[in-house]
Amino acid sequence: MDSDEALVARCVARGDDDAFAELVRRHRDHSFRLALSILGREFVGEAEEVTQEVFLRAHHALSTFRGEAKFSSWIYRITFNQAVNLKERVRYHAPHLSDDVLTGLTSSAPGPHDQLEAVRTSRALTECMAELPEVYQSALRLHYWLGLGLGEVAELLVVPENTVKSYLHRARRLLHVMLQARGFEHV
Amino acid sequence: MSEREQDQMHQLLSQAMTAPVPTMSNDFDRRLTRRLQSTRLDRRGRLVLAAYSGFALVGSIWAMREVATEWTIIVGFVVVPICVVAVVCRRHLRRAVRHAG
Repeated sequence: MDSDEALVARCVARGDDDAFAELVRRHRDHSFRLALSILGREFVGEAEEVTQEVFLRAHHALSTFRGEAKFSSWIYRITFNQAVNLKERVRYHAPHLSDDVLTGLTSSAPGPHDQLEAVRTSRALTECMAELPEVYQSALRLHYWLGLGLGEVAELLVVPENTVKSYLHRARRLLHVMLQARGFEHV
Repeated sequence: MSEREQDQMHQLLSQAMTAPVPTMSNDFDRRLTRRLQSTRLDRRGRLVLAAYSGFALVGSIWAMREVATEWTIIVGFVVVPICVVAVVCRRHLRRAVRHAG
């Protein structure tokens, strides 16, 4: 099987569409998941649009790819920047909390009081997460929501695995402080 | 923050983020292929564009010679706008690539 770099060389030298299709097939899911981790679950359509835009830009700029970093790292870096830019633009159009988020906050707690408390905590957690730096939010969603391991998160964020551990540790600490400041003492 | 509090936050996050993971639509590749094809000219399109450019260039020079314009002015009127467009397009492309990376 050809390496990514060999496929890129074929695209640049011969305009090989099959080689580019193979690159898309290899990286589209990861790019989509990364975009989703930045934009959040209310923006699935936008995450797919970002993924489309990433591959269009990559195709356009393929001749400028010098192979100093891995092709996958290049794609994920473009995805991250594109998704963060889009998030800045849609931030003011987004509902404070969508129906989707609210319906996702069901709880298996036993009594009605406990259920209400669990829903309140989850809602506060969602709001606090939105205040974290983008890279922390992304790391949390990739790890807890999309179920990726530390190594996979590191690959998508183009950082060492220890840095991901540190992101998650700091994100949990910040969330803990923010939740306590909102009166969730038991957290 | 203690180890126990880290574990509590870990539990809370695990419980809160249980929404189903969405997948991409089935026609993702087809849409991307269509968009890629629309951004570049095929062989016939390139030929038409080259022919149009050639006729426009010859037509412009002929029209200006008809009104007895100086050669330097003719060259200025024809070449300068082409250079300006080329520079603007090049800068726009570079900015797009830098922005992407």
